[in-house]
Amino acid sequence: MKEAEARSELIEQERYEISSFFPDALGSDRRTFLKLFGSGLVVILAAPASLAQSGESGFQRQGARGFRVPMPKDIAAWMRIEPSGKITVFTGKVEVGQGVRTSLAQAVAEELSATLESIELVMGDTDLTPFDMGTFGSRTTATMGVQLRRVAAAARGVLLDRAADRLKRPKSDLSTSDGRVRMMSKPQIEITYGELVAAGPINNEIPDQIPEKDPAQWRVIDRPIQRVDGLAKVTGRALYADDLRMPAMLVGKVVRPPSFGAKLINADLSAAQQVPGVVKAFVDGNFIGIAAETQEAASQAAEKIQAQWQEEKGISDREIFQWFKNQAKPPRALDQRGDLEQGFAAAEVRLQQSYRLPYIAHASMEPRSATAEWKEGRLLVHVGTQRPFGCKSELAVFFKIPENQVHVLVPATGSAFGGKHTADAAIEAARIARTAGRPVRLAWTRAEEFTWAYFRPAAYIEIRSGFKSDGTLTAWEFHNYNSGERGAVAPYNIKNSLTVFHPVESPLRQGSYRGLANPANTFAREVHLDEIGELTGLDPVALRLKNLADPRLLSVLNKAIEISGWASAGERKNSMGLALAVDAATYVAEVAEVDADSSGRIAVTKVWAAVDCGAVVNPDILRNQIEGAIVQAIGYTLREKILFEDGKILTSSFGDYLAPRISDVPAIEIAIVNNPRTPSTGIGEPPAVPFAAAVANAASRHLKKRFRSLPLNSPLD
Amino acid sequence: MLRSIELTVNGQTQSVRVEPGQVLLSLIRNTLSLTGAKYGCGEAQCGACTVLVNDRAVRSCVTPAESVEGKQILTIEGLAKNGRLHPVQRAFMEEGAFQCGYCTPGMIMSVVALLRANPNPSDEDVRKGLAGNLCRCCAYTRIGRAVKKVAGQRGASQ
Repeated sequence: MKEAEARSELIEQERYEISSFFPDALGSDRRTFLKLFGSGLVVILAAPASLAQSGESGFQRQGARGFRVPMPKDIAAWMRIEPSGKITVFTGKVEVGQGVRTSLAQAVAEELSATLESIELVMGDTDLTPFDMGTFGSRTTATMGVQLRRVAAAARGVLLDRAADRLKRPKSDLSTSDGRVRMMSKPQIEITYGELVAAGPINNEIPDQIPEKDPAQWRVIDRPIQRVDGLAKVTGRALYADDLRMPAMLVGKVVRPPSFGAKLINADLSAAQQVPGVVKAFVDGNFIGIAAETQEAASQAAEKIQAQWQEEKGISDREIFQWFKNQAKPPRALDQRGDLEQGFAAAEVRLQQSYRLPYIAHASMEPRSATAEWKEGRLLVHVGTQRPFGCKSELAVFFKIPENQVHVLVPATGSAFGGKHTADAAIEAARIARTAGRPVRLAWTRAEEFTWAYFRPAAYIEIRSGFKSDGTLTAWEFHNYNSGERGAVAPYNIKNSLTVFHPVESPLRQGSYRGLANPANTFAREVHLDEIGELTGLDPVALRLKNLADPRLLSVLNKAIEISGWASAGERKNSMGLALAVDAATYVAEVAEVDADSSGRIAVTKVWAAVDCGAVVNPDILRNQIEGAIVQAIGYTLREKILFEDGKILTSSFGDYLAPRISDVPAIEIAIVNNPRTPSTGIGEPPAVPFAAAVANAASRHLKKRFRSLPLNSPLD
Repeated sequence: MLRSIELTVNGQTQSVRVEPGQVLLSLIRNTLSLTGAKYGCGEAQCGACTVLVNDRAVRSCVTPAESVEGKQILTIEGLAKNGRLHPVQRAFMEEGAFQCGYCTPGMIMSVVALLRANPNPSDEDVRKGLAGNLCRCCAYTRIGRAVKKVAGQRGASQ
């Protein structure tokens, strides 16, 4: 990884919701949201104030890919060592279940030579931690892990200098371990880090060049250390936003419009205001808010509000793919190579097909929730989010107050998967708190979460390909409508190709989701390749090998073939499918085996995954992420879809939206290509990326009919 | 119209006032400030709110608070005894059987109920017993392993 990349964060433009928050009466002002769609405008406008606070200057544009945000250079911005020996690390990254509170602490412990127990991470506190764009893109280990290792190595260097002074010994006679510096010639002489900072805190800058530990000396990294937050999680002591209780705190609730785009005409609040325990019921533009002493009173009041809405005509799920084609805005060529027409002319066989994926929901177990408290004009918010600084900016913009008047804290967060980038619940809680004049906590119901959160974009993808009868691709034309750019450019060796993204004004609120558009793009590409395999009579592996040059992709493919016994599977191979992906610079090959019942309903029975994500920090957390991504992907592959009709979401409970349950879990075999000398890359998203294609390819072989639409067990028409 | 009922929560018998229309989950979380049990769906579809009532796992989000009058409630907060974690809690930590932890209190209470009813469950028993508990992070493989681990330990100690 390049140095500049290691010290900054890349923000992909594809994260629509970042540039598209529409806080005013959520759901009723879709136009505002759409106006900003894809423009990146809010990102640019909102960030400099925060950057100014951290002593940094603006963004660096990275071509069409997005923006880079530099990181502070002072050790003190990232780490404080107390005379007691306690080490506090500050990072704007957040723990939403992926295990980074543990893996980042491991990185620090390793480079600082400190015990894991002495380290505490302050995460996502906008008053205390350096600015951070957000916890997304599978970037925490690749960027923050690298950054904190540099910080820790720099701090260790300063501590060694101080110890050398104190002991009047050359540094070559000093070693560090467990939070102390020891004289090697006289091991009984040692100084603790606490003693070394008693004279003054470490205020140095992080040097540009800083030697990190050789992987051969690692004692904490690459170890399956238990999650440091495990005790809190298994005892129920971990506090999520809706678990926070403050004196005089009220419960907030919002009365939602009946459909997207509906405008409030009038609302009769009189009955609601008479419900015992209701402190305030109010209308503010399109927003109907309630503050009550209890959850029960808030709910009863909401039911008693008679509101009249003017609704807009909306479209339905059945029309969505045609809508995408009809409504597409000017396309963006993402990649162009060689001469496409020449490629098609040289082809012996041509194939044109389309692939469809519906909108799906993140459906985090913790619905959006937040607390808000106004104190002398300053707003304090606790919210489970992937973007504390983004939420801070949204709140400042919404309430027209300076950013330094907003303090966002991220408590325990009940998963996110790309779904918690926006400040919706925080803004609602703060609006109600301001009107009621008391602190408020507000949690969305499951139905609100399914209806008013944003979705993974639905995708319509067209591929036109030409190839020789030996399987060599001569031409590749790829069009993604609406769902996005990530992973659209094929990781194969194709001489003549064109890859195009067609943005669309989505009728539903859409945004980031684990892997962004890569699961959709990979699904279309890898299914199409199997179709070519069928036409040429080539084995899926042979076809891919024919067109593959990337050595790391080759190595995971070979590993997946090896562990799945692909070559010798015989008859079983007729129920097996394969797919490859590159995502967040991580390489994944997955093989799936399926079965079907008499009605043709598919179940995944076994999965083999080979993953190369560079150096591994915590192999157990890594496996947990891979297993989780695979099982979660069973949901969007087989069953999950958002249905909607005339602007109304019809899939609003776990009874309609069929997330994976324990009975869906197949046998999973994982092979990690662990190269400690290759920089760590992402793992949160990549294993979810090739999965649907592997299963669809297996199902197509098993049932001898081609699957091109998700979810496999009940695709949209 | 508030009404008081007597019930035993985590071994402590107490009298609490019940709001009209209040469900057990709200009583536990809002009246008693035991926030381990979670709201996940409000309609008994996800199991995040699971607590034990007289040793049986119930979905507290749909259980009327008044219906537990005189009964024994066990929540995640009451599972550890004298500072010692319950074997199921220990197994969840050792197996890393969670990610975000939001479903974990409900999941653990369901496992405790499952093992009380069936100390040596088969894989199929585990799948059936935990069918009502959603983990969106999908740590299910590990959850299954944690259950078998506890069952195995108990078998060994008998």
